[in-house]
Amino acid sequence: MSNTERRKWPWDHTLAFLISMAVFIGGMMLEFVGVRTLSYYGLGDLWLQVSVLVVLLIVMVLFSNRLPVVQFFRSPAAVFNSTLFFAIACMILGFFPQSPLAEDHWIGRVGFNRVLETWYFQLSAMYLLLVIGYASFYRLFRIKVFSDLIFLTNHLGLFLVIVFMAFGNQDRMELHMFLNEEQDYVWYGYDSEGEVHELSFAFKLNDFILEEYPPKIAMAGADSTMIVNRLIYSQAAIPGAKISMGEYEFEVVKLEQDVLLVEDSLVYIHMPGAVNAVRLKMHSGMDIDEFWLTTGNMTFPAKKRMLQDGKQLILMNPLPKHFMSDLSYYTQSQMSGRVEVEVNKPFTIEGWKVYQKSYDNVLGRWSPTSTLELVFDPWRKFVYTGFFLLMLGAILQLFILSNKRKS
Amino acid sequence: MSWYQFPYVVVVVAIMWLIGGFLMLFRTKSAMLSKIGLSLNILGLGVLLAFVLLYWLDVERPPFRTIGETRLWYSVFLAIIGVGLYGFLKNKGLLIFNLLLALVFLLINVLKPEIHDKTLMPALQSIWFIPHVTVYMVSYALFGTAVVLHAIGFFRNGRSFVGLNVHQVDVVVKVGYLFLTIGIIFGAFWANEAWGNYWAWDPKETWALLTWLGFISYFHLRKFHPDKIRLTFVVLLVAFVVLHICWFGVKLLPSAAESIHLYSGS
Repeated sequence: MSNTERRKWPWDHTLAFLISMAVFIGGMMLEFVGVRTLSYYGLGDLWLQVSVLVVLLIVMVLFSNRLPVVQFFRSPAAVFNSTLFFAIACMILGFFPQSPLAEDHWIGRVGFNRVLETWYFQLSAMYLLLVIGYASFYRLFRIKVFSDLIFLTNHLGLFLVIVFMAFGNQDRMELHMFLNEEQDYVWYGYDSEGEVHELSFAFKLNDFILEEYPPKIAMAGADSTMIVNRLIYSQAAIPGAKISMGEYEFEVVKLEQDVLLVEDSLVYIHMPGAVNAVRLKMHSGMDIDEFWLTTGNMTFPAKKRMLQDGKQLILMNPLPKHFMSDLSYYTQSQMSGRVEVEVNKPFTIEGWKVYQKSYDNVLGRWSPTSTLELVFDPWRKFVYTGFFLLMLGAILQLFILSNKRKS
Repeated sequence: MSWYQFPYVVVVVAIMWLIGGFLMLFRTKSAMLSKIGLSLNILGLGVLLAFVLLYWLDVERPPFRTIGETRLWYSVFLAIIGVGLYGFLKNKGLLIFNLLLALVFLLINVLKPEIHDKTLMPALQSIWFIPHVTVYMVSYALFGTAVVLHAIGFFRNGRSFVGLNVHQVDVVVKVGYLFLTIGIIFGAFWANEAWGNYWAWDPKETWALLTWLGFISYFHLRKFHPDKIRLTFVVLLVAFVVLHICWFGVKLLPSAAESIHLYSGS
């Protein structure tokens, strides 16, 4: 590289790498001494932040031919280093559990257990954002050919996703609402710190409905604990089914729900504490044996069957197939109605999305309670716009391929 | 057709592919042996596809839930891509290596059998389930093919990349990138519908982003330094390793305890 070029482009990969590494390590040092990032204190209105960023990028474009430090952000060194250091921060995030630790633990001191809140993550994300943003805005004012449009679609899409995901996160609200079938309307939710937030709408739980799969019959190793991954075989207990498990052959004679097993007889009950029971016919050589297996719960232990070789047959608690909350709602604007909210089918009300979160796992389908998750995210549509641009850009860049092939 | 018949299917497919691959590589003036070999390879793929279809009907749910099922789809898509690209590129080595790689994953499934059942947990009962996983497995298979192409170019030319048609690799990587991008975004849409957050920095999502960044780095390296083929291969390999960490390595990491993306049985 000549001296003229070096004056214009003083950033080779090594120098850029060293500067990036210094900033990254500096960020870790700040974490170590306990200095919090600005985002901890809140950064103010999103549009103000975005405006500052856009103005900065426009100024960079205007001075792009005069200042080498600005030109750096379009250099290959900036592209690779910004990606590399953001990737390093993400690797730390993807490797260490993100949960609180004892104050003196070294992982906590350098922020490996709260990476999203750290200087090195936020600085590397900002670095990447500046590189992408500057490249996008630079090309925005120089669109000449189709490939420029494809470039913009990809880079602006990613720019939108990062900006609105990062800056918009402070305005995102996530609440939990705890409902009970015997309770009246609830118009508030709790955030992650237990603070109550009042809402402009209210829900009442009419009924919590849970449908289960047939329980599974499983053969476990000779172990007093029933750990699922020590199962050798498992199959659903469907009446009439013939099941082979190793050298054993079974036939499912009967499957009963909501029962109790009392001295080899069934008592039918319809209340919490009831279990599932399956009657099996076991063929072992010339012998045929019939017996009951039952699931267990907090009231009654499971009925198992020990086999000759020390293995044991168990009836596992059935897994949930569907669960949903039958809700009535009304709003301050006098709207009312009834809705069923289940997993993957949220309900939208007054800008909030309502999700079926959980229920009383111990009581299972007898649960009189339901937990809803309420999410308010005003910037989601902007992030989605970015997603669509990214997908479009990925499709369009195939046209560059076909043009290259033709040429 | 249940998973218990799977080892027998693998034996049949393996015999077809190994004989088919041998016949295609056999140097002969007659093209007949090569055509028979190709037919055997396609027939082996047909047997595998038939098993997948019958297994799908048996479990009465889309077979995308367990790690074994995703490995099965990976093998299927590797084979389809190998056969498909052979039609365009007439590259016997690519087809055979793709089928061998597919066989490796089928054998892994035989050696690590899993308990399969018909249950599909509520979170997986979504219109996004099949598109998200399918698109992802296609992208993984394409990236595997790209690595195979690069490796063939390396070993065939005296451990140098002279003579490697890098443009072919670029094509495969770009199509793989398209599917990967769509797969990540479909996952974001699904996450938002299921639990209200399109990106929660779950370990699986984080490693998916790292995979995506790896292949983005590949493109930028090809753009800025098109002559650095060896470095390109290294970046491709690193991105491929990260892909596997995302696919099934996440459960081995300390962060796995917090992940909601672990395959059932993990």
